Amino acid sequence: MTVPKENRDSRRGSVSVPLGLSVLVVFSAVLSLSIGAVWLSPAEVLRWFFTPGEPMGVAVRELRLPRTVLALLVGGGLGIAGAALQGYTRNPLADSGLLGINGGAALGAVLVLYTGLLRGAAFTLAIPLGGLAGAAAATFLIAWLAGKVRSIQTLILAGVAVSALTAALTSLVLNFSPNPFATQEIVFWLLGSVADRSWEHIGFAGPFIAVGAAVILACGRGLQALTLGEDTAASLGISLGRLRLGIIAGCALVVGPATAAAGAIGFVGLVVPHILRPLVRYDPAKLLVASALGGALLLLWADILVRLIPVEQELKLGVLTALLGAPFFLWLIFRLRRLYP
Amino acid sequence: MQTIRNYGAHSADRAGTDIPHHACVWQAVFNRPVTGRDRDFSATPMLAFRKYASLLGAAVLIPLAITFAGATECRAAEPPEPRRIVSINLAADELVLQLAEAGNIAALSHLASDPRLSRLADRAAAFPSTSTAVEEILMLEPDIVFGSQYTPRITAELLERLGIEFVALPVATNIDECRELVLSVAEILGVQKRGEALVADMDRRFAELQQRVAERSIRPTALSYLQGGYTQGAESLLHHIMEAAGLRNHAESLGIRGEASLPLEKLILSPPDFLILLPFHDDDPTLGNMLVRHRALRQLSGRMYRIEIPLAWTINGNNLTVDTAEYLFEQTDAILREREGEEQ
Repeated sequence: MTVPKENRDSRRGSVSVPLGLSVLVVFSAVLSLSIGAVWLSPAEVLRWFFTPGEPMGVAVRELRLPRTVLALLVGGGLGIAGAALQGYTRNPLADSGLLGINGGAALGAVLVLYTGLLRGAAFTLAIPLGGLAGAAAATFLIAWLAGKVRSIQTLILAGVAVSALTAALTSLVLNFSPNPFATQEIVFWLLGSVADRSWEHIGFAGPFIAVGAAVILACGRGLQALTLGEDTAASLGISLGRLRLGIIAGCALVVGPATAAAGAIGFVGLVVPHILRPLVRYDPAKLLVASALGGALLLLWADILVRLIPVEQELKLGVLTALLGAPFFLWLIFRLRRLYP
Repeated sequence: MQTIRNYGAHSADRAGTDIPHHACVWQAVFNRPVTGRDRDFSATPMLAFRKYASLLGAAVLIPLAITFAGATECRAAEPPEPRRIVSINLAADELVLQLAEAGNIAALSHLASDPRLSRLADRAAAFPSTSTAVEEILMLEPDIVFGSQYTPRITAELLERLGIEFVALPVATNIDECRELVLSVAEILGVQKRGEALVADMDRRFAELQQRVAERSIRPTALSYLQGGYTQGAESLLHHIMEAAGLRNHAESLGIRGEASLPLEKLILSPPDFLILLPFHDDDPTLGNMLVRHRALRQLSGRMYRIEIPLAWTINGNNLTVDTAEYLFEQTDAILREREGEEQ
């Protein structure tokens, strides 16, 4: 009776992995709230949170908490988007950063913000919508290419081209800004950061990320079926068109506003699904939840480290994720070459 | 030697008034100052071209020079007063505008007439403007070009190689350096008296300010906060302006030197008495502008008084810096008096 045993195993993985990751996320979030210019114990964090008017209370409520929540949201979003893209393209190198979606989102947000296209009341909503539009455009391009070409390399090269183009256009828009300080902000948009963000950023990005993640989760069954091949998936009653639309919409909804709030952070969506895939027994649906938690955990730790590394100007998040992600990417390429020479 | 111009690069229309003795032309073209840089002169194709262009110019000019030279003295030995002054730097603009004869100013930097950056934008608007491109500067046929220590080396070297005097002005970060800067530019322009008058006026007003500061019993703290989260710490110009206005720079006690970024949390955790904002392009949306309007800062608005100084008043140190110090003193003094009135 092997079938029930496998079922039991997979069910065990589907509970223990998210549970374990959740515990780590909570622990790390508490640590993230404790560190800063002044270190606090968790009890002190709680006490200050409920102390109105005092500077330390303001720092905890208005700086540390939004920073931590944004790292969780953005990391989680990038993680789940990476898992969805890898599942949909059945391509282990797919990642919203490598495919140019992060870059497209940054360009969209930059276009809206610095040109002041939409000012006034609609302004705060315009930034995530700009990011969303940019991410959607890049995702459509990549999905269209993925339909045309089956080759992993071609898809990645197309992503490289899109990334380079969006980075160049982002710089161009910033250079056109009448405000000379704007050019200094290129670094933020290309490398990302959650430092000194506020609840406003969470307010505009959070709902989009949540909706996008829900859309992606709804695609889980389709991704599972897709591992058997497109024809088999179709015979199992999966509408490939709807699945594709769901993945595109979900990734754009997650990555666009997340990038609009925290800049283009690379490699989270590449590294996290890879590490977690064996733990969820290569199930692309279970990988979605696990990758969301893993992405949140990774970005939280990257943000803890940028605050702990003693440099005069705080490092950007993207620096750390690239230091981790780029060697991983290289290792992955060589491993794939060995597997599929 | 630095006042000898590269005649090959000049048009001939000034020959009648300005062409020196033909011997000077030879000197200018062939006996150019020999420096280490000149040795690899022909290594760069563009510069080699310029060398031959100047030979060509000489071929045209020498006969002209011989024709017109009779009455004109060779000027190479004694430095003449610069007739055509070009400034390619904002700090230099303000000094040239105040010190030079208006008729001698060939052009100012393109920033000079921007009221957001220049304190003398109104006066600067009357003059032509130039970019920092050497080609554009050459077209102005300057005798002397004022830049800053941050002018790209390549610009400075190219101008000097073409025989145009280039003056790299240092950036003044305290009151003594402001004074020195005004005096040294006045000397270069041959208007020492005018420079001394400006400095005397500045010194008198600083002395008066010092007296008013001494009458005040308290020394409140102040912290500057620029868009993007930057502040000016010890050894910066604004630091010395604050001191002159009777304020303690809070950034110094946070261990910041020069202009550096200040994490918002550090500001929130130890708010100063006065938060000095330097608005600049406030209407152009940037992340840096959003940071200055962060909710956390708004929640502490009851603990710090906000003062705004136009950014232009804090960029360049010279005799006008006393205006900023006086303004800062008056703003803070008014608030302190009001508070005193409330407490009584």
